[in-house]
Amino acid sequence: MRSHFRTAGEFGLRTPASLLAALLLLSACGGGGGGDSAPAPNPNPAPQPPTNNAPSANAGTDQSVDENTTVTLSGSGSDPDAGDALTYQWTQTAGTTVSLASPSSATTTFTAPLVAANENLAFRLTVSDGSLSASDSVTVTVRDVTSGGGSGDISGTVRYEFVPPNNGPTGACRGLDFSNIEVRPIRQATVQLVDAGTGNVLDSTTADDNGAYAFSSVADGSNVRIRVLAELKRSGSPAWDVEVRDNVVDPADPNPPPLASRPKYAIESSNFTFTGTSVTRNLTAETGWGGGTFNIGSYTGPRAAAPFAVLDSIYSAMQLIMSVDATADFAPLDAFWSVNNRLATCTLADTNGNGNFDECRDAGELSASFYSSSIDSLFLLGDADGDTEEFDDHVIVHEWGHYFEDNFSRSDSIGGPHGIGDNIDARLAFGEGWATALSGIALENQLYCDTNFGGGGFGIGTEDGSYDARGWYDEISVVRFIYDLWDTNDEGIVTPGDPNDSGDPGSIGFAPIYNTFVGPQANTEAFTTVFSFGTELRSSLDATDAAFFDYLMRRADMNPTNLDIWGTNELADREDIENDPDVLPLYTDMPLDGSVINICSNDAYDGEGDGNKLAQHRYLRMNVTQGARYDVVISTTTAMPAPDDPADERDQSDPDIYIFRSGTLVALGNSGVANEEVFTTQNFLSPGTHVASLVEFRYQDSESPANYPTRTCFDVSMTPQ
Amino acid sequence: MKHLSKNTLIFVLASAGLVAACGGDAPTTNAPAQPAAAEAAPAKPADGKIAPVKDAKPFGPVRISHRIIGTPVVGQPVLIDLELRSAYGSAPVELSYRVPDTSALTFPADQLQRVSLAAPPDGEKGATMAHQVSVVPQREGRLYLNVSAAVETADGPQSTVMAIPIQVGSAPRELEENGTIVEDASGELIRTLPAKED
Repeated sequence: MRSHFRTAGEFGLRTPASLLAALLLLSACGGGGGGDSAPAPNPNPAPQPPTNNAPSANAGTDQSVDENTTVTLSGSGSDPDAGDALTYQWTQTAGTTVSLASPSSATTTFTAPLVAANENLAFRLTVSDGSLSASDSVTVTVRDVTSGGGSGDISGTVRYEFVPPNNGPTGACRGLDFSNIEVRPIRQATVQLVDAGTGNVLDSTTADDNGAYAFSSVADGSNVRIRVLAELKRSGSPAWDVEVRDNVVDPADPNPPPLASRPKYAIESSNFTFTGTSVTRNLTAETGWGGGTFNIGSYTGPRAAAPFAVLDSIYSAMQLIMSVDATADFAPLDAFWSVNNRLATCTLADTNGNGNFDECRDAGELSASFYSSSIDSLFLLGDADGDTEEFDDHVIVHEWGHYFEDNFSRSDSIGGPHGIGDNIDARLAFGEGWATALSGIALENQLYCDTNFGGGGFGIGTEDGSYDARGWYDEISVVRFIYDLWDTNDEGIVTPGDPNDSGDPGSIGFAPIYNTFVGPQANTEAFTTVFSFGTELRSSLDATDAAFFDYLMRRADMNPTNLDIWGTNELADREDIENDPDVLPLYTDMPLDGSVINICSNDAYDGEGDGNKLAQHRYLRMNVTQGARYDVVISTTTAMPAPDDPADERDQSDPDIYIFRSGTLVALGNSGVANEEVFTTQNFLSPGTHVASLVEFRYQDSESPANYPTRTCFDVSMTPQ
Repeated sequence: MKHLSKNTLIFVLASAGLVAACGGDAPTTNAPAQPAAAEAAPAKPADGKIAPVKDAKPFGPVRISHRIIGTPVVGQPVLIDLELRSAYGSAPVELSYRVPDTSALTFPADQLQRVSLAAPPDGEKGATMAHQVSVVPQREGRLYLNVSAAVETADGPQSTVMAIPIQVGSAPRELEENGTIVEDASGELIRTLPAKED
């Protein structure tokens, strides 16, 4: 069990209340009652009783016995006082615990335990006459007689069933193809040898990349079972720690465990008694599918394969990283999957004052499968009658791609809903495009499938497909650009008639991409966009690869000419944006001498109130030469109607600004004051380049009026104090 | 129809505030005294991000929004307004409905379980389509209607599925079981599932 979450509060371990109470009790009791005053003499002493002599004890001689044999402890006692009745008590003081048949008799027996090596057991015999007592000890050495003779090995292979997408003649990603189930190894999972009686783990090992495991020196006659945990654990270099757990809690449980301690998935064999010298136990986690083809049938048994499919997709992504960084240190990651995780708009009430995120997560009502950077966790759908992800390996690796960017590099993505055809914020477009490209790269399969029940789903071709690549604000452009940089396949001309499309004749491999992420992209002065990534990557390439890079960037409808991290030379006439004045320049230079600029936030690309679309967040660039706090004044210049309700200003503008230095938030103004934002930066802005995101909050306010203007402009000034 | 809930924003604000309080470098929220008229103002994300559910998978070709009309009652039809936005503006949308637990929800006799919605006349990408569906709760609890929306594309049919939760009365949701929870010798909770052996 572990707790690596970055936030405290509800994710902390349960308070050990009983321990605290015990400590308080001890403290209140004065720590043992040792008083500091001598007892007063008794003024009326009683007559002295006759003198009593202590008995003596003899626990017998030390002995050596074979394991799994009956052992007799023959003790005795004597007392000089002839009339004293003696009692006997045997207690074990060392070694594997055994069960004594008659611990209150002078002679008792027990069965020597099975031991992996010779082991000493110690016993003490106490003889008492009711007033005084004496003790003696004896040692029994239990010989390991089964190793090499009465013991042997248990070995086997652990596997899981994987269901591929149905890519039939009528289209791709049409549900899952249960008629073509593949049996795959469970790679690198923890395998345990469990005592069937006590539940104790007798031995533990790790399956290899073929799913093979082995336990040696298993004692003959042992009653055991094999358990495979849905986890990857490795210390050293490389190191990793991945667990697959169930996030959903029973609504009747008044005190559910904290998220990090929710149940971890495992498969288990039946119990069996080991005999002989070598036994093979192969275990397969099955889908639970009851039969039928991709769109007819249902699950009729436990869905045991699911957590291992999730685990193995994550391992595939980790292998890609290790192919270019053999000593990668992967931060701990939890993947939460449940048969009760549905894609739903959750409306559950907030019960803890933190919003209803916890309630929805615990109920399995998720707005999507997603990665949570605050707790390094994936949350994955499992609704068999709707959308379930365990065999949508691209979806799992996509979410893992966010984990990678968050932990190995830096992500400035603002997140939120996004879909095919959306024109989205450049930071979001890069993060999502990268994650989808990574799924194609890590799985060496260019078709990203997201299947659902009844033969449904959709696909994204990471190198080709029916979705247009339209530019840097389109995640598909980023997907195809990065994927084609890596892949060696030449898919030919994707867009006939496009002068920038003559196929995909090269590859730069994955190493330059990885090195850019873990290097300059993590520290870029700009926001993390395709421009920051592309500029730094291109600078690391030789002339041939740089030319190929330029070609692919043009092919994905982005401009590589004079490329810089700011996207300065991006073209204004891209599809859908057609010279929109609120789209480019991507960064507007912000003077810091009190001069006023006017800039507009535009809602034209957001049909859902998501607040993360193109031109809603306008980027400012500040070249700070004077370290100081700055007075920031933002005034809405777009005419607003007279407020229709004095108690609700949601028909008025609400500008906000967030100021960053190399990805670190250093100042913000996000009050709810109508039509302005006036504040002094909370921190000194140190000399150097800063960037800011200016946004009209009404575009992400769920209760803003439907007729709110689609374009809101502001005067902005910054002045050093 | 807007999706971002006020509650999620509150959560982000609270989380970021926690980081700052624990010695992080996040500045405190600039929160001047609020005028009385602003008491209904929503909370803000303290880091400029959209929601705690930040890095989500891509939506499919159709975005589905819904609104339940009225308070669901056992035995009475519940009307649900659907709003759909297709990435393929010119293609019709095929809607289909599925109830995972037919002891919980049924369809009225006149409710079609598959419906074809014509594309908007202008065929514009992002244009919305609307439809209304009706179901009848058979018991109290948190019940689910699954809605699938599909469009025909050059790559074949592409679809999105979404579950609509319908709270009927105050009874809690029922869990679907998968395996058995046990506590191992170290106190770890394990959800054990059977394995095929050979």
